[in-house]
Amino acid sequence: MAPSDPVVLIVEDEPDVAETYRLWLEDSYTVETARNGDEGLDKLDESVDVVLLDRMMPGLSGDEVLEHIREQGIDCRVAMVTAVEPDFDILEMGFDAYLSKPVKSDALDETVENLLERSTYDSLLQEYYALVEKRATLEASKNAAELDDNEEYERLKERLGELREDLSETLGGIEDDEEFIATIRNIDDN
Amino acid sequence: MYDLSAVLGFDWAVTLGPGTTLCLADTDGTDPTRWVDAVLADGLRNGEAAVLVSMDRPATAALDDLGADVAPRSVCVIDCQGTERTRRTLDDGTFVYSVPDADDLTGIGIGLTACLDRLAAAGHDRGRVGFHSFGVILDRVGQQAAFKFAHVVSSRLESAGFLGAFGLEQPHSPKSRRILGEAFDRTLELRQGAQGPEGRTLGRRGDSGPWRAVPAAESDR
Repeated sequence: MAPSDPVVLIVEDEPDVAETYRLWLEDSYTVETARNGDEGLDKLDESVDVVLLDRMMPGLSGDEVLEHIREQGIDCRVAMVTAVEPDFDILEMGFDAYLSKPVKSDALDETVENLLERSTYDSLLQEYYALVEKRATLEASKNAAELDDNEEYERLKERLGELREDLSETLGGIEDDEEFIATIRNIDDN
Repeated sequence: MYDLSAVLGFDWAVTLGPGTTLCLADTDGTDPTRWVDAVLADGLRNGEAAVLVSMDRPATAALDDLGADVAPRSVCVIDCQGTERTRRTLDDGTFVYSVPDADDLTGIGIGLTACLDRLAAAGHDRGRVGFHSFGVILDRVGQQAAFKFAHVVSSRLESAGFLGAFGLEQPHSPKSRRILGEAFDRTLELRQGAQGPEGRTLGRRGDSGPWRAVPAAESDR
């Protein structure tokens, strides 16, 4: 792992399970672990990109930890790890993905990668909005001839074109229901 | 392809690709709802499905206003005047998803997913999604969240192959329209002219084409 790697926080009360996840992930990510919900909340800060959250833990449950995360508006993606496949409508829940125990190495990799891609999408969308806003401000304050001569305006147009392309390529253009809802939830939360 | 020429009259409206999104921006204080209804009713007449997102009218009133001969399995409604997120089926079989307020973007998203799933199960792979008054969302959540929401919904409609029509009320500034317009494929400005409804396409930099008559929005009322 390198300091610039994305940070994954594992909140899991079974030490062997937590250690297994760490071994699978530590080549690609900076991995932090917490043995219960309280410790998880203590370790959670803006540096954390993805939280793997065990649903059934003594003390604070995964659901309660998730509630705290959402209430505090911490900008991270949460995968809930459940003992059984959830029988509830997962779209209504506040987490971004779920993993059923026993978790397999490739499923864990795939989930973390997908959640990081969603974060990338959110960042691209944020930049896209900021530049659209900037362009509209320029357009409102200059006439057509002034805009044609304006280098900043040209650069903005170019970058907006690139961002549009990047957005349509990230997450395959939001064709999955869970990704769609999780992306909107992130807009709602911010 | 979707053909909106009977409603909008413009040459470009004859062949709109699946996933095309249009902002229908009212410019003279006329309720934009009727333009959205006209787009949906036109699709229903052609055997396409419809999802109606109603901000300020309960589902049954919004369906009445749609004014089309509606087959229940072809239409779903997202009603933003509920008390909580709930799904129900009306006596005639129309599916309604309610959210407590137009600022519940996640709820509207879940409702849209539920409606698209239901329509797909009923065999519909074509349809139109109409937001009665996107300006209500803009007012509730602010420009940034509204823009992002519009962009993500547009992406989802593109994946589903549906057409989107988003009504926008007059009080929103030209700058605000241009910003929001970036989330859609086209913005059409609309007004009530002396001879009937008129429309013009809003270009970049705020320049617009000439006003011209728009055929059918009025005749559905």
